[in-house]
Amino acid sequence: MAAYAVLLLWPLIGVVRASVQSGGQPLFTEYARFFSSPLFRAVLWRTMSLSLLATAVTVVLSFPVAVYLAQPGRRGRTIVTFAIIAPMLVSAVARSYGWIIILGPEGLVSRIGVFLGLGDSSGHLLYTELGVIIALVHLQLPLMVLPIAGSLQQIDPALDRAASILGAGWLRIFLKVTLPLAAPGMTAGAVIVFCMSASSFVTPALIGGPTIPMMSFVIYQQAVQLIDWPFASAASVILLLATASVTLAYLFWAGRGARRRTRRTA
Amino acid sequence: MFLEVQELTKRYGGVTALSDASFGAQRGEILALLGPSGCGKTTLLNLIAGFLRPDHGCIRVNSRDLSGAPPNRRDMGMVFQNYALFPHLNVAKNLAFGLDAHGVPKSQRETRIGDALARVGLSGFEARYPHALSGGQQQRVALARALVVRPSILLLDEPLSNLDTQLRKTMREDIQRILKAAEMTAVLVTHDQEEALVIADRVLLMSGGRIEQIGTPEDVYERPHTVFGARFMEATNLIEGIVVGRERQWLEIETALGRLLAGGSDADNGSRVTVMVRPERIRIAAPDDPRRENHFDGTVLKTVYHGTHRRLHVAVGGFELTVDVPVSDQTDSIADSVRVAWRREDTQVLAR
Repeated sequence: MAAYAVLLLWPLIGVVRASVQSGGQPLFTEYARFFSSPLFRAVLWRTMSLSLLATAVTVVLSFPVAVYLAQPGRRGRTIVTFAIIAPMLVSAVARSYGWIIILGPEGLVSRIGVFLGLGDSSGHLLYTELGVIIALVHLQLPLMVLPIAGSLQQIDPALDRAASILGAGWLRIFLKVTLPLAAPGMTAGAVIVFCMSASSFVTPALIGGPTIPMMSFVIYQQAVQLIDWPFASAASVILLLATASVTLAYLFWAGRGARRRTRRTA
Repeated sequence: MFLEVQELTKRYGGVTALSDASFGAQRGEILALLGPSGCGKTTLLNLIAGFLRPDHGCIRVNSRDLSGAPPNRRDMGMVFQNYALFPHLNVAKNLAFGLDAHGVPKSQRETRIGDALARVGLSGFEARYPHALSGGQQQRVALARALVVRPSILLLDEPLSNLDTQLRKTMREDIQRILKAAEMTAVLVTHDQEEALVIADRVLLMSGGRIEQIGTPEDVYERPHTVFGARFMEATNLIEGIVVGRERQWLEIETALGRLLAGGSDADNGSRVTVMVRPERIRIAAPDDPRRENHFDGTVLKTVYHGTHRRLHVAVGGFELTVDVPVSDQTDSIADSVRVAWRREDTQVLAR
């Protein structure tokens, strides 16, 4: 624990110090520079909104899979679980190149688009926000599916029957029983996916490219290509604070009901 | 009949879980499905609820055929073994769930919830969450949640099996009183014979996927039809014998104890039968007792004190008879040699 704290806090303190000390300038010069630039503000906004969108899409896509996995005695559970986890076994670079091939100008998506008459061969998803979201969702699906499936497995199967005999159809059961009881897993999954999306580098860098830069890409550019360490540090701290505040706001909102209910456990 | 069940059959693969069950219930009647685990009673309840589909047969409530109706369209209520309260909803919202699903107007809900909680003696518990309730309270909430929607039939699946003995005894009388006060037609599943006898108007004794006997609690307890029924109702004295003659309505039967008279059958001479007599129906008689009863001389092997009674194990002609006698001064000192006696009316010939 102590080692963890040191290894986490020491570099963090270093980054914060680097961000506020820029050769005799006033303390928050680099932060002012960041926020005074419409370009960087757009990058921050894009990073946050894209991550939120990716998280939302991941939740929606994960739920049916998690419902499937949570049912006991389903054949093929192992294979589906493996298929869900598989993207994590491949390196981010290889996976992203895979997506480049699929999303690119002569790729599968483009060809299907042409085939369906939706556009000519110049239409593709590479270097678009949609492309980045698709790739992020693919990577992070397991981080959402597994906690939701875990939550669903905790639900007493008799609750479905109780709701049903009380007159509830499947939709009411889903909305009033399944969904609220799966909330802890969804909260955990959403926080992980959002943080991973906001801080991811390889996927947005390769699929979004320089045309739609995200925060991690800007930080990389500033630190490695322009060697502007104070500004890169400031951008890192801004990203950290933005991600942390969104996460905390969500956790607080999701925790309201749960705290009241778990004050006394049976 | 308000509830009619006809020739209901359910198979799992090659195994028949329920075979050809037919019975009915009047409006306001409480039925108990009684039997050991695996006898098909839970399958039968789940078929009535609509959680399972029968392979054959039908269920009608108030002349309405329920075949093909899903559980949420059957207008039934159910109390589950583990209560199945919604953990994320407080007591009032647990009760409101069914009202909401039944489309009861919001203006009526509060009164209905208040009434239902008052019935089960839990007024003022509206804001509590299930985990903050004791087992007995959860049980009452489960009952209130099922009753608040005013179902046509209430199903209870082993409702008391998760409570401790003391609470179970008070709760079974409470449940009986609450169901009668609500004039509720109910089907109760239990493996506890006392529970069935106390709560139900009629008992369906089940074994091996079949209904063995349907009758009032007294019928099923005092006059079991089969050896299984007698064993399940703890009639410990089952005596094998051969019919040797007839005296008016009584059969004369030769047994290991000697010759005795029994009723309840018209088996032919020479047929092998099993006869039962309940331990508490046997008494210790004086040697010169004038009553014309079945009586035998035997030796007391063992006396066990049970609090409410004393259980004697008496050897009569190679058969060990179980005899329950009241605890009193007279029975404090029982001689080694005794005469045991019981009425012919209490001697029942069983179907095999």
